[in-house]
Amino acid sequence: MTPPPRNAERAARQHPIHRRLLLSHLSVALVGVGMLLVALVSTYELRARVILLANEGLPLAQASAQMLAGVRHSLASLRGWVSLGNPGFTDDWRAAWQQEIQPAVALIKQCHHLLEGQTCIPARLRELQALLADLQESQWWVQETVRAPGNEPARVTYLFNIEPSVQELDSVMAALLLEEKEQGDGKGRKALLARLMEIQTALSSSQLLLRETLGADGLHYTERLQQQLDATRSLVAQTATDPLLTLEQGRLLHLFQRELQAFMTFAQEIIRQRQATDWNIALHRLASETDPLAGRVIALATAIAADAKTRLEQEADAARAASAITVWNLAIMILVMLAVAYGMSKKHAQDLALPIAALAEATRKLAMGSLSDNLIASGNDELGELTRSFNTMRTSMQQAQTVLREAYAQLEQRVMERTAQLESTNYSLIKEIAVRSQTEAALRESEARLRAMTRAMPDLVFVVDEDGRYREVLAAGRDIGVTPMRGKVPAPIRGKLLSEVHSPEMATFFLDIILRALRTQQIQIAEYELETSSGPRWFESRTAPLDVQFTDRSTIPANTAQQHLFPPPEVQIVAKSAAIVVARDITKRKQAEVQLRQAQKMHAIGQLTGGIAHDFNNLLAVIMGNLELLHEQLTAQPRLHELAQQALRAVDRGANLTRRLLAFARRQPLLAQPTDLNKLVLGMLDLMRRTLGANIQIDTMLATDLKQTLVDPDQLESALLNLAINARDAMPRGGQLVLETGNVRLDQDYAATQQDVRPGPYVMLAVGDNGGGMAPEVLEHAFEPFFTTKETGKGSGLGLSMVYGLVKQSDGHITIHSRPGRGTTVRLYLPQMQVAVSPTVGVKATDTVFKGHGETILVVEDDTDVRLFAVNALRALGYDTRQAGDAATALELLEATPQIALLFTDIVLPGEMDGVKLAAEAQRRHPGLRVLFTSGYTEHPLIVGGQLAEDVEILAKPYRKNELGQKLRALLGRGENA
Amino acid sequence: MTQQRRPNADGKPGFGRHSDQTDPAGRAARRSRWPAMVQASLRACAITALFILLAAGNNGNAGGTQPDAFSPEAAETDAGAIPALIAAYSRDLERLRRFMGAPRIGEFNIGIHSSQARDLYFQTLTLWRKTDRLLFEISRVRATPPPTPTGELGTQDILANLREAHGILRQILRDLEVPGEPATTIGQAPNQMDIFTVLLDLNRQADLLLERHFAPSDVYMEITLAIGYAARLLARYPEATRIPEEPPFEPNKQPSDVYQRLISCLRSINRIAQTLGFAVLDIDTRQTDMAQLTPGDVFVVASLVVSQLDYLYRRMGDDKPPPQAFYPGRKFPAHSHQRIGILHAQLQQLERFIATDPAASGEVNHDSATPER
Repeated sequence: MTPPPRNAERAARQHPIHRRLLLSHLSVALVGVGMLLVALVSTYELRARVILLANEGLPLAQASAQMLAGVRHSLASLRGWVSLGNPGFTDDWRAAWQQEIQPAVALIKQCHHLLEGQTCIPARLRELQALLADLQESQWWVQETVRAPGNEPARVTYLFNIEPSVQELDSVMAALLLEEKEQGDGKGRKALLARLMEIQTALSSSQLLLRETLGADGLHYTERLQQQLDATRSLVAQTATDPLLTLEQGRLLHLFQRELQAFMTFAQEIIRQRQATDWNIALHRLASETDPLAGRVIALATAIAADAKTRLEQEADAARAASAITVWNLAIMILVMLAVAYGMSKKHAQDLALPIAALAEATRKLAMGSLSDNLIASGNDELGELTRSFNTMRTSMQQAQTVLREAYAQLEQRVMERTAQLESTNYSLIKEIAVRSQTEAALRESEARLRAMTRAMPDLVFVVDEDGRYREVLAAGRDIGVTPMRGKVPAPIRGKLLSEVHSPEMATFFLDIILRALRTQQIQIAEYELETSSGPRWFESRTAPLDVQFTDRSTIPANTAQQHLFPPPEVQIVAKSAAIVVARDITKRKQAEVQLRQAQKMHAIGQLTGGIAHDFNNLLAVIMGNLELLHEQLTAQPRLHELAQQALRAVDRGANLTRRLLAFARRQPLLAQPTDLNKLVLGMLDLMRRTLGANIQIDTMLATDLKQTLVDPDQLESALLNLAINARDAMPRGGQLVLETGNVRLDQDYAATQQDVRPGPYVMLAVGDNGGGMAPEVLEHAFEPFFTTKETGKGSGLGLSMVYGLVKQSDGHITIHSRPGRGTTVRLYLPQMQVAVSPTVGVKATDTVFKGHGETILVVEDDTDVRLFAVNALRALGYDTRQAGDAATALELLEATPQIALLFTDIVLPGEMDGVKLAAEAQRRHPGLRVLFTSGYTEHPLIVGGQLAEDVEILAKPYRKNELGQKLRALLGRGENA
Repeated sequence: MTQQRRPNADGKPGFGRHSDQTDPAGRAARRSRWPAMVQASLRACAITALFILLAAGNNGNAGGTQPDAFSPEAAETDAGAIPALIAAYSRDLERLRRFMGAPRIGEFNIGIHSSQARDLYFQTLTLWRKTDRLLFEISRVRATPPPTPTGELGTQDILANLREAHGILRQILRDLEVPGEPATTIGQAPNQMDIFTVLLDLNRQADLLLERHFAPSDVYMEITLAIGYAARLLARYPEATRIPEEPPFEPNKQPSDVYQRLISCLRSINRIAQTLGFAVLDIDTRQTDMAQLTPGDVFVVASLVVSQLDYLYRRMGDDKPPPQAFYPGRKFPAHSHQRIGILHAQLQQLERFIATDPAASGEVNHDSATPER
């Protein structure tokens, strides 16, 4: 071991190491701080100078230059305006002041730091500002004056004095000349006239010279003008003494002299003004005031700029000096600090390094395993203490090394035992984890299936406990798209009580079902209507008890008196029974049931009315036929003839009534044709306007590309008229009727909710009004026959039912929407025809009498009265007849009477063979036999869907004799033509 | 033509002709700045005097033997002489009106009233100018302008204008040989007379007799003169914009529009005067029928604006003269309306500066001891 130096030992005794180190670092830091302070002060001063130069030096120089340029620019612009009169120069002049001079002055004023150093600068700045204001004002007056007529007073004198004077002189001279001409050509008068004209010429010359005097070179003419004026005055004076002058001429010449005197005075004034230095005010001001002012401004601005430049140079020199001093200061301080730091560090390093080196050597040996030698501890400082601690540590290490060897051997043994135990445990755990993973996978699969199932379910599935609280919502019935609601705001229901979601009545109802299911352990089925976010809907629910119980945590409040004894609060677990509810939306089913009931009701009414109408038609046929015959026989007795006529009209009304009944029952024979509803509507507009009256406005909204439909146009016209009349009755004080057509498609969903509606394309005809509308209870019965809200005798109650029957018979669909006070809209949907077909032109019945030519007609009719009427009518028409009450008799007659030309048979016949079969058999036996059917209604396979089969002729009961004749004639004529 | 105002030799603003009463050097220098019109008028006066003498010689008793309204004998210096002179002028003007067959003016309230000497002075000056223009139109001569007052305007100055105007009127009557006796001032002074209103009516009547009426160009010239005064007043304030930007030209303006804008300026001047403690004009335009306003009426208001600014200018004692007015050529009321925009902006500045620093404008509250009303 190397002993430490003696002085280091002494120092170690006097001061601990940490104090010596602290002193050393503080000394170095003190030197550094001092140096930094010096550098900071120098840099701050330098910074201030640089900022001043940057912020004010450059702007000041620029502003001075800009101001000088602006002043020169303004002068140049002003001179341009004075010389050329181009208004653009005035704009330039304004721009020079607004964009150059004024900003420059403002900028100069901002450079106050730089200018403050100059003692005279504020006063000079004020002076400059005042001079600039004077200059601007002076220039304004120049530019204002220079183009005004008053700029040259001589011109104003000429304008206001000379010109009126010349006019006066001219008028007086004209009078003089006129007077002279009237005096004739006496002796000497020519000379007088010549003198007068000479005066006139002299005056003109004077005026001309005066005008020249006003020009830029006017001073050249002043002498000649003066001579001309003198000559004119002399000439006038000479003339005034002429004895040939008449009195009037003397008076006129006196007037002339007086005005000439004024003229000359004004002329002298003009000469004087023209000779004056300020003959042009603007130029004079420009020269005498503006230019000197500009010169002063430029001189002052230049002086200020020069001063500023000097100040800037001084500042720049000072900045350079400050920069140099700062650099030198820094360099010197750095060197000093390096020297001090080196010396002190070296000394302290030596004091510290020797003991530490010895300690390091001992430590190295200790690391190599040499634990036998102690170090010699010198002094009481930290190093001495460290050496003693090192020796203690060395001794402890020797002892610890022995103990450590023993412990190591024991530890090796225990590790081996524990490792074997852990391997066993690990194997068990791996097996257990494998089993649990399989279980979890199965559970996840099961949950996924359940989730998919509940997602696929259209129903509402939820769990409610015995308290009526929603525990789970397994399926939210997304397809239904409804949420049970209380009030109007749908909300999540999980965790809520039934009473919080539903009305009190419904909540009680649901809870009762749930409790019953729990009590009986049976599935409870219930149907109920529930108010939902999409309106009232019908549901069918199945409620089943659930095996799972739900738990609730409830807290038991602590007794306050014993609160210090027991820890509050206590949690209690309560088990709750629950039931699962599956609710299905059956609203559509309910609606379909209602529709079905309505359709069945309408069908039953149709059956009833159809049957009545058929029998009634038979009765009417007999009555009509007999009345008609009677009517023909009574032509000779007018009174009876009229009575028969009235009876016939009543029968017609009855027939019309049965037709409408049949129409409702869908049993009227229809002559369906391809029909364009737009044409039909347009064709009826005139009729409807007349029918509805002027206080109802009819508007149409017709589709441009409307498809055709297959319908009986006459019947549809009648239906449209019925609807229009209904609308009119709904608008007693007038209103608006809208007729709309369009191509629409009724989809599958809609058709599913309606009876007798096939999905597909339709043609729509809508009739809307803004009348009183209908209450729901009225709307329910609107299509029923004989149902009317009109006063007794005002309506038959068959209008809408007929429309209903027509549409249904035409394979169409009809809807009616009405709101009280808002109006009613009836929409007819008729099947679209995809291919447009031209409608056939029907043959209208005429009053022409179609007589027979003795052809034999076989009449087959089970009703004796009707048959009798038919036979009588045929005979009256000129036909021979045979008659039969059933088919068998008819066939016999056909066999017996080969001349029978036509079979006229009722469709409905007693026995197995009806009229259709009879006709078929007859035609089989007698090919070419004509057949005419008659019937009270169309409930027969011959008439498919209300439309006549092809090549079938039918005459609807009741019929007129003439109609019968027309039909027969047409059929027989067709046979003749063939 | 417009009378030109000039400062006196001591720097006080005044009228050019009388500023020549001091040193010859200054006179020579100022003569060069004399308006040409004044010099023309002086020459015309000489010619007129010659014609008067000639006429007196011819007629014998035309103006020499009878005491004349403007003769030294008839000159009165007290305030009572003003109503007498006005009455005499009024009677002679009525004679002339009848002789010329000119219409009589209708009743009209211009909406301004004042009894200040300065305002009466400027109205009599306008009357002189109109009478002078009438003389030129009839007799082809121009009269000598009345003496330019120095210092505070007073009764003497008003009387001088009236005498000169009446003299010119009598000369016109003589030149036209209007029958009847000329009116005198002796014993003619009415007991009660609203001098300002009567002067306004006389001015309006005189304008009706003119062939070349006081036109928008005269109004324009007067407003330009006012702008010059206002610029000089603003020169005391370094921050001021002496001649602000002219507002855009708005066509289709009527004399009533110009009148209303001038009234606005007068109100602004009134506020300035109140700040400084000067007497103010009475302005009440509620009874004024705007449809009847003529350029001549508007000129009266413009001349009142000039009179107020001239008063302020005299008070400030500036040494730089306001720029002389110049004939601007043909102008419409819309031009005057546009030009008043400059004046209005100047007065707003002046009002603001004086409100901020009344002392900078010169004497303050010097009239406060003797309020007008």
